[in-house]
Amino acid sequence: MKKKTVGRTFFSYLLIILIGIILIFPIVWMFCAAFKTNEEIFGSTGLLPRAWTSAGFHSWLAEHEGGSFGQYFVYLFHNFGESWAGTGRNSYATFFWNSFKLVMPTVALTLVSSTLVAYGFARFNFPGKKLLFGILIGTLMLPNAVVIIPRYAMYADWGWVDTYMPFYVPAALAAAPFFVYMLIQFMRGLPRDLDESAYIDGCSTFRTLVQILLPLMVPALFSAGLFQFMWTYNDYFNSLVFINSATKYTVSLGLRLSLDGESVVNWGKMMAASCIAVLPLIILFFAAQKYFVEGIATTGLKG
Amino acid sequence: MKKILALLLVLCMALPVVALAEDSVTLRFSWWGGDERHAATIAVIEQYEAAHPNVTIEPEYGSSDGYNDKLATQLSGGTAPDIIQIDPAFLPSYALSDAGYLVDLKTTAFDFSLGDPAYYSLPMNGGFDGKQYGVPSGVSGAAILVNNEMAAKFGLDFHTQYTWDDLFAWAKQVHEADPEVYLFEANKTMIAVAVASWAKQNYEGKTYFDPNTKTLNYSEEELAGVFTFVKRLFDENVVAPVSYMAAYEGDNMQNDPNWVSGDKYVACFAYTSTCETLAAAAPNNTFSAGKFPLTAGSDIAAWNSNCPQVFAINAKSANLDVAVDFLNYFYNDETAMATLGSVRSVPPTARAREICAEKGLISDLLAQACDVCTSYSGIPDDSLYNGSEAKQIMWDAIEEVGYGAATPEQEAQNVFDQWTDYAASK
Repeated sequence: MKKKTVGRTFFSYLLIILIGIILIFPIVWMFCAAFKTNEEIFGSTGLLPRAWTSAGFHSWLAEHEGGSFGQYFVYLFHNFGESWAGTGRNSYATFFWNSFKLVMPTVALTLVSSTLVAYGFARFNFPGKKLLFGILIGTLMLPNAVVIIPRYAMYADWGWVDTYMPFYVPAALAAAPFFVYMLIQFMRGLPRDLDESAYIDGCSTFRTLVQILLPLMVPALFSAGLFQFMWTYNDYFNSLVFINSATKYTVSLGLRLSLDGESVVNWGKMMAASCIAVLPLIILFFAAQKYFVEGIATTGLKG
Repeated sequence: MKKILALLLVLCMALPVVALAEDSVTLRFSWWGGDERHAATIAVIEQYEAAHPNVTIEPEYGSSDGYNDKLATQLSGGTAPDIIQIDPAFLPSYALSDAGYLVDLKTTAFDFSLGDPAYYSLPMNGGFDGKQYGVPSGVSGAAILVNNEMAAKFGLDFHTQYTWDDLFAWAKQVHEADPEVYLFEANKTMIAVAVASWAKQNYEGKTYFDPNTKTLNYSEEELAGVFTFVKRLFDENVVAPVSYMAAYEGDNMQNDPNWVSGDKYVACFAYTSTCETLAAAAPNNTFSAGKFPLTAGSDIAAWNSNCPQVFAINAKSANLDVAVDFLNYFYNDETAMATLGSVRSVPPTARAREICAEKGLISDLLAQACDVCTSYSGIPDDSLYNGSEAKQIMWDAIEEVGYGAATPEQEAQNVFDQWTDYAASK
């Protein structure tokens, strides 16, 4: 009997490890490719770069007489240094700063506005609530590609193109129905008794939200914030459409800069830049791993 | 409250005055390219800004991918940059649009004196009916990039004039010797270029369309002949299968691992503007520019030289004069010429070519490719075929024939119908 359990555990771990390897492989490949030349990337199937082996060191030594191992170590990372320097006038420091300026307010505004709208839908009855909720869910179904043309025309008229307004304003006006819906579901799970006892103690509706409900909503807010961060940070399409000046490019646009058909693409450098670009997301994931699962798992638990 | 209102009013009135007093001009300049082109173009912008302290030029650069889609959106949305680099394939649709997107440079102070009128007045270089909607950024054209080692291995000589029949014989020889090797790397875009030249050679130099009458110059039977030729290219292994090349469409042929390895193709059918990239992608081999195939018994060559990009000025630009002045500097100033070198293929003016040659800014391969390209007499494609819609129909047709989804006759009928509708709608 015991043997059977051990066997089962072994196989489930084996399966998990295999799936884990499949999932992590692209990232590991990307990191290793950052140390390779184009020729090696396209010409060999090996994962580990030649540069990490003693053969790589010796061939480098043949070109750089009297080079020390320390110098070789620095040389190994030259793709990272070069890609950080960026293209033209802008280094990745600019792109990261732009991404930060774009993502942080967008996330904060989304959280505030979505919470307010969700509170309204979850706790109050007002004329046309069903219709408005229907419209909200309707916009959830609307693909971005469908609304991008009217949005562009509108924002161009208002002079918002080449600014971050097309990202801030919709975020401030709760135009992310997915998060509104998620928060509504979460709030429905919170007992109304809490609100009622707060009213009896003399709280206004707003204070009830801030002091009673918000502390309970932390897991849901965390996951909404994390997802909005990820999606805005990774978003290429909207940034490409709305941002023109290279000085305002975000990381996702910056990455694309060195990929051009009419010039030689240094894929090793490209992969190094990609490693740098995904770093914030990887750090975020490990730092907030707990909340990723918790937020989703508890949303709509008691719907 | 009143005080605040008054203050606001004063501010509102003061703003325009401040704006006028500074007299500063901001222009936007967009282009696509790689690192080298970005650096050189920005350097020219900086030179101009240093000479004109009141002018700021905001560079908007990116990669070729998605550039045209974005530009089309910007032009129709009225948010396009002042100075625009445009792909010649898309130029006619912008230049001839009723919306009047681009400025006729002949009505401006632009200095054409260094250019060659016979060259810049071609439709693909911006000249339409005596109006000039853009200036070519360089001289380029098709190129046959020969992998010297592979050519030597199979004993093929691309440098002595040869015919299409030789080509088919070579393809057979190469593929029989090694089934993994194809004579040419060519995606559907490049096949369309080769086929257009073949068609002119075989059908009395006719272009596909007659733009004046807005009709087709080719009958359905003649188009069937064209697609039979396309089918032969695939069936007789002159080019790699269309399904394989689908991943390397557009300007992506240098990413084909079989090209990078340097032992799967004898040559590549490319543009002069991409041949250095392709050569650099396969570092173990040496390359040269081969001659173009001709049709036995025809005295028509029909291999064109054209330009890789066109620079145009947005008709909605608020600072038209400054934009023209900058383009003038970009195009005609010797410092700018030396800075730009050959980042946009071989430069468009004779003076710029001299400067590049003096300073060694053009590689031997590029110079050779351009020499080959200009040594043939060309028959430029008509303005209708230059439109993106017509090209798309042709590319799709080549793909269908390549996949065997349609016979050349079926495809000819299909293209004939679509092109007839297209021409009539123009």
